[in-house]
Formats: sequence, C-alpha cells, structure tokens
Amino acid sequence: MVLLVTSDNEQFTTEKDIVERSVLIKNMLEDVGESDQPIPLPNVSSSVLKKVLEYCEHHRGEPLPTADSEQSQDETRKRTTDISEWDQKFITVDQEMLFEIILAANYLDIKSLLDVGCKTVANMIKGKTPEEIRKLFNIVNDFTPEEEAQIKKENEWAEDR
Amino acid sequence: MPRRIARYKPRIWVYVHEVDAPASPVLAIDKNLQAIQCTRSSLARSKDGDLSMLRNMPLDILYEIFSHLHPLDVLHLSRSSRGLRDILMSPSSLSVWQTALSNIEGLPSCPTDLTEPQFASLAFDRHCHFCLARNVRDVFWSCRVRSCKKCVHKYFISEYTLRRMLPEVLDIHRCEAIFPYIVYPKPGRNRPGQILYHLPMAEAYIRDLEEVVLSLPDEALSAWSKQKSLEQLQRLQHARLCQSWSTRWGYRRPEEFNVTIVVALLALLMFLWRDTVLQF
Repeated sequence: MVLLVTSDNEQFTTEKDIVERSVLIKNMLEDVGESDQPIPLPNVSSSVLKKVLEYCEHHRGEPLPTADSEQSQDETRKRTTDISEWDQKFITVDQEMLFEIILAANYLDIKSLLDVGCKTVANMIKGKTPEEIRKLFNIVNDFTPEEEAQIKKENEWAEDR
Repeated sequence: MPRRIARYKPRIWVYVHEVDAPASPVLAIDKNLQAIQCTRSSLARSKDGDLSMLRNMPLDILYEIFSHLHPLDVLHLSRSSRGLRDILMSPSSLSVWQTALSNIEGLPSCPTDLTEPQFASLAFDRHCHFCLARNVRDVFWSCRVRSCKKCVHKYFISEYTLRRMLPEVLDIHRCEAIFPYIVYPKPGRNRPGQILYHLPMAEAYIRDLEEVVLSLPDEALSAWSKQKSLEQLQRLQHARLCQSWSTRWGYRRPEEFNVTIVVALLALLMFLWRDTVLQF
C-alpha cells in the first residue's frame, strides 16, 4: 500500500500497481524503496487526486508506454482524437476539474490521462470559427478590421522569410 | 456555408456538473466513484466561456492540446486574438504547426518557400488570397495561391504582357522555366488552357533582374537564372504532389452528397426500367 498526501492535507491509501501509472510516483517509489512514509503531492488537491486515482484504477495493469514505443505511439496518438467510451464518461466534468486533471496528469506524468484531457479540450476547439473560439475562451477580438484582413492574407507569398 | 472536409467534424460535448462527494480523510478507491459523474447529463454543445480557463494554462499544456488539432483549427486560433497569435506565430510554436500538418493523411510536407502557417492556409483556408472572397476552391499550387476567377484575371498575366515588362536588354527564351505560372482554365478535354504568370511574383522577379542587369551582367545573370529555374522546378514538383493529394484526399465530398447521387441514380434506373419492374 502507498500513502499519498494532497495539497489540502488529505491522505489517500492506494495500491502500488494503481498509483504506479504515474511515472513520477513510480520513480519516487523506486528511488525510496518500500517505506511507510506518505508521499506528499503539493500540486494536487484531494478532489482531483480522487479522480486521477479512479482513472488509474480503471486502467491498472495496462502496459505503460516505454521509451522505445513512445515514438510510434506518438504517431498514432496524434492522428486520432478518439477517446474510449469509459474515458469519455470519466472526463465529462466541469471546466475547472478538466483543467485540474490535465495539470495533475502533467505533474504526475500520466501520459495517457494527459492525452485524454488534452484531446477533450481539442475536441471542443475543433471546427470552430475564430469568433466561436473567442466566445469559447471568453476573449475579445482585439484586432482592427484591417489587421484581421491582413492576417487572413498570411497565405501570401513568403517574400521575407 | 463553407463545405467542410468529411473527416473533419466537430464533436458534441457532454456537459456534466460534478457534485461534491462527502470528504473523507482516508479514502480507499471504490468503484462507486463513477456515480459522482453524470448528475446533469443534458447533451449540449460547448457554451460561451467553457474554456475560459485555457488562458491560464502553462504553455507546454497549450502545445499539448494544440497538437491534437487540424491545421485549420490552429489557423482559426491564431486569428482569434493577439495573445494567441503571438504565441502561435513565435518560432517556439513551430512544432504545433508541424504536428497539425502531419495529422493530415497524405499531405505533402511544407515547401521551403512557405512558412507552415502559410502552407496550412493554402491547403485548408477557403478564401481567395487576393480579395478574401469566400468558398474559393481553386488552388494554384504552382503559384502557392488560392484565387477566385475575378482575381485570376486581375493578378495573372499572359506571356505577351510579361515580355513587355522585361528589361529591354534581356532576352529570356523560356519564361515558363523561371516565372511562376498557372495553366488556366484548368486543362480539360478539348481545351488546353493558357499559361498565365503570377503578376506580383513577376514584378518582384523583374525588380531583381533589373538590379542583376546593372551589376556584373553575364555571371550574375546566369547565376540568377540558374537559381530561379531550380526554384521553379521544385515548386512545380511540389505542386504536382499537392494536386494529387487534393484530388485524392482534400476535397472529399460530404457523404450526404453521395447519398443524393445514389438516390437520384436509383430513381433514374427505376424510371428507365419501369416496364420491366412493373411486370413483376
């Protein structure tokens, strides 16, 4: 069993093969060895860790990407924005939680979870016009009409490359 | 309504609120956690401000997210605000464009005379590069432009006009070996199409030439024409690759269109064979 402590000082006990989906924790455990000491996770809150562990438990036992396969995995990973049904249901959370999960996955180094989160955000951006993107991000159009037209012509010949 | 590539469809986003689970100091993982979700499972498209927090994300996460996008999405992002444009046009974002382009099946690599955003725009934007008219499908890959019919007449010139623009001392045997050109209208059966030269580029080349002629004429001139004809060769080769890509992958008609054709053909067949069919 492994003991984790979140930023808001909650303790989580979990099994080693679950939590080892996080490369960060896996490396920590390998470096430290068996110990009763809790692992502090100062960047992760309890509500987020709960979700992350839920993900790790569901995917326990699946092979972790190794350094060798990373290249080829990278290829197929980028090509598709498909998310499995369970993952899709899992990641159906509000915006705040979604970004917290992404940040936690990045910090804990759980590549597959990071992918699920980023693909979800990417899918929300896909197929949108600049105006729809502004609404989605809650930003204002700070280009003048002339600039906007100029920008669209970025396609002109690259004379000053 | 611009016609989109069939493979490229926006997804429906399921918006669900999470209800706070009662906090427990020590929590063993249990399967019931899934019940936390799906409390409000109304199907809805993403709403205003749904991704407003994206602005506060660190850059490496943004890159990670953008790497899953279609080049047209990246173009649209870069046109949405100054902040995003600055990020996406900085040299450190080059990989975002490269990855987005590499996500497209069969697309030739970005040519050396275009930046990645320019190539993405050439391949996927649908506006005329000169007047910004919408829904322009004609890409002239050899001149790296997408142009509406009106602008073809305005910005492309015949060989006769081109020759009259050249410095008088100069005699160029084959203009088409050096100056970027298109064949217009696209050659089909019984119509060969005419060679037309890209005016803005021709003007730039001629400015170049005038300087070259003033300097060491012979050596400089042969070096210049060698360089330009090499560039022309590369451009034409790349244009051929792009043309075959766009015929094969670029403009797949939407599926509804195919269904319409099949239904129309079936109706026609039924009409033609109505006697035979009615006998049974």
